[in-house]
Amino acid sequence: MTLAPESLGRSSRPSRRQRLFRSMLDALRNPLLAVGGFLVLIQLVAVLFVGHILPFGPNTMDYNALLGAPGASHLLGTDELGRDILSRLVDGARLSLSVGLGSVAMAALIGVPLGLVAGYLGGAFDAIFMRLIDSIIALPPLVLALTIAAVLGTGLVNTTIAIAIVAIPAFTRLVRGQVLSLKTNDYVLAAESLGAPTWLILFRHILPNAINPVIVQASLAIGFAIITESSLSFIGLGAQPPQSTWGSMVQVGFQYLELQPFYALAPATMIFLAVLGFNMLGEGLRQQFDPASRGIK
Amino acid sequence: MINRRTFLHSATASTLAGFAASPAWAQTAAPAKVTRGGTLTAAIFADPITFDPHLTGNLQGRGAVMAIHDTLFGIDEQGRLAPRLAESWEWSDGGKTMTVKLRQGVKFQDGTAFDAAAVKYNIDRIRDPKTGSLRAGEIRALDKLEVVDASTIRFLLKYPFAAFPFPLTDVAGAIGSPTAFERWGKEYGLHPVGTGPFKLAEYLKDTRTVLERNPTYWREGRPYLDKVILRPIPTDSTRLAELRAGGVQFAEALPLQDIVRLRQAKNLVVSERVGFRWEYFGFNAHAEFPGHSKAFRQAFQWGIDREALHKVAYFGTGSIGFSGILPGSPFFDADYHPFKRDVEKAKRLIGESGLSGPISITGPLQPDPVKQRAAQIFQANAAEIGVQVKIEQVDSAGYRSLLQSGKMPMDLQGWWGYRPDPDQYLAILLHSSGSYARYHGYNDPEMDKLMLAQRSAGSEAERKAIFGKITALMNEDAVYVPWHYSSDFKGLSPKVKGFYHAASGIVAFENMYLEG
Repeated sequence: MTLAPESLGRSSRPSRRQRLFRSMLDALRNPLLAVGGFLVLIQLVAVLFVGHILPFGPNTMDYNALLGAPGASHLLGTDELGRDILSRLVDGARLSLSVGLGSVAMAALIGVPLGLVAGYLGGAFDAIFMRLIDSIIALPPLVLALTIAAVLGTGLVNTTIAIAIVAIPAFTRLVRGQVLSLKTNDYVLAAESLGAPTWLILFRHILPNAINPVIVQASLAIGFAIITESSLSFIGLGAQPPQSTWGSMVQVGFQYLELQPFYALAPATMIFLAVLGFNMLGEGLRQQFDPASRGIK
Repeated sequence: MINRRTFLHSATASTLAGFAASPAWAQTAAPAKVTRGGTLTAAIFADPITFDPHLTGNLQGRGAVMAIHDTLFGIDEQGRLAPRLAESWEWSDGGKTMTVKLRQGVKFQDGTAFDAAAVKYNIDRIRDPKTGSLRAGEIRALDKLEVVDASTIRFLLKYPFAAFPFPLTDVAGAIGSPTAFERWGKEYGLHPVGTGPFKLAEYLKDTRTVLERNPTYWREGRPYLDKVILRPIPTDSTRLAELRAGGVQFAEALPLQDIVRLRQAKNLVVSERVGFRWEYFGFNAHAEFPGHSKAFRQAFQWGIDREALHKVAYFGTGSIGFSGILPGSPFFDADYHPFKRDVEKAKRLIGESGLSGPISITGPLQPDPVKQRAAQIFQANAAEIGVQVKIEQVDSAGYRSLLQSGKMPMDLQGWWGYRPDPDQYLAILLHSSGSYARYHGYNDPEMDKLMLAQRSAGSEAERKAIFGKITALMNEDAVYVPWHYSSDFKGLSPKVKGFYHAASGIVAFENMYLEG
């Protein structure tokens, strides 16, 4: 690898920026990371920018173009109410990704501190609390999400909460395991002997060292969240008309598969690509963070 | 013996038989020549679940029940009462007594004789609360049942009620063998014995129902088919694919978006029957909902785009509707078109409604594709006149419990299927004692008077005039905003002959045969 020329003369030790740049270059050499990152990036771009330049609103109906074939004005055709499928796809991306990112963020914010506390304190609290978490894991995730969503009621916010609840145990278990191995390290013992408060030890000394697997888990969980949201929307618990996420588009479009195949296939493809993207990103990050797998490479 | 009804069935049912009377066809096809034997496989939308006439609920169950059991009465092509197990009937006592003469020499499939006592047994079973029959409400007007002699039975009603015999054209009038009822009790649903053209040979839930020819059927020569197999296939596209592939020769409930295309297909025949059901948007008139304001409700009579609903929700099939009387009914008025979309007028009515602030109303919605389309157009129409509609998707159990609690702000998917007499559903919807009227908080003394008046009216013409007033008042009150009459579509292999498309959607398999 060649370093940027201006940095050569100043110091033999690369600066922070240079190290970041180098690790990014390094990361790009990892095909999983590169492809996954690219897939996620184009979705974010679509959500943030493409929606504004499309000629049709996601809810604009045209009764003269029902289930229209793809063409110049409607690139992916129109749905059963004459709405532009591409516009709805992009709008659906916004909602699907919001649910995916939102639920995982929520799960991580709850699951990670719980794992930290359980792992660090140990004892009865850990034993009882982890059995509770185990009992959630024992249930099939989709069934559990379905039940919670059904109890909370329809709508995207409730769907997000339901998925978050299901996703919490994975974060808690992961972090707890990390804490168990980290808490006997010398620097933690040193901090303890200096009388550092527990929260400081947890968040300053343990969490930063446990965070890499969490990031990997988060990106994998986003894929799961998008699929679960799609499943819930497919049975009508998620987005409510006229809103639609990818999952609800597949649900409705499925009825018109013969007449307008893009209606169901386009969002199904997007679900596939999104989940693939986040999973590859997660797997790539795991390899990147894990010295062992980098060594093998 | 062939009565008028069965004659018409065989004469008009298939294109072949329909043309048989014309000279051009007479030379090439022998008139009234049918092919006997064979098995007809039909794709149905849902499993029949039970073959007990008093307990069945869905259309598929009713269809299978009526293949196994005969009903007391039939419906002719003009939508009027026709003989079946009842040979003739007579009204007396100012429309409070109906004396029915029964067909003689008919036997149930288990050999039991069909007579007045059997009819009484069946009707009594419906009326027995222990049976838990869904049909009890349909014969609520009945006070007493008298067996005059073996072939005569007398219905004594609580009040004059011209439409009383109509439910007896459906499963409420399907007569099962008292011997079998005694033997099987609650299990009768799996061991049905009627006088009908077919016997139940095999039933595998959600897989198939096999009906076998009843060799002792009282109608000479019928049925023509040896076997009818009913296969429940809930997915529209799969049902259609089976029909096209030849796996089934008959399919019900064709997907509406495919109708135009299927009509052009050479290897199948699309049959349409108008006046299958009517649709409305219903409002809850209880005080806590926006629907308590009459002007608010009326705004939708002018505000909804019936053209768009017809074109989009129903893909242009059926027709725009303004009443609860279906085309094909003797009481239908084809010239009644009281509303034309007028957004300005609708906005004015909303302004007069006395409702303040941003008006918002929530409507639950089942995952039915037609209703999903309709509800979203309604939502867009309502937005134009300043009303926000929140759609909440629910399952059918959730929808029903919400409706029945009287707490559903509005009904986005109100509909009633064909019944031979409009009183059968209008009384439920419009008379203040009717269940739907209670759910919707509908109570108009003038309407109650009209409903009772049509029941005791002497002639059809008189009833038609009163139904006209009922429709006008229903639209004025606007608790139900009618918007469509939809058709029933069935698909047939060109080989299937003798099919008559009844408005009830129930298939008379005994008249059908397979050609070639």
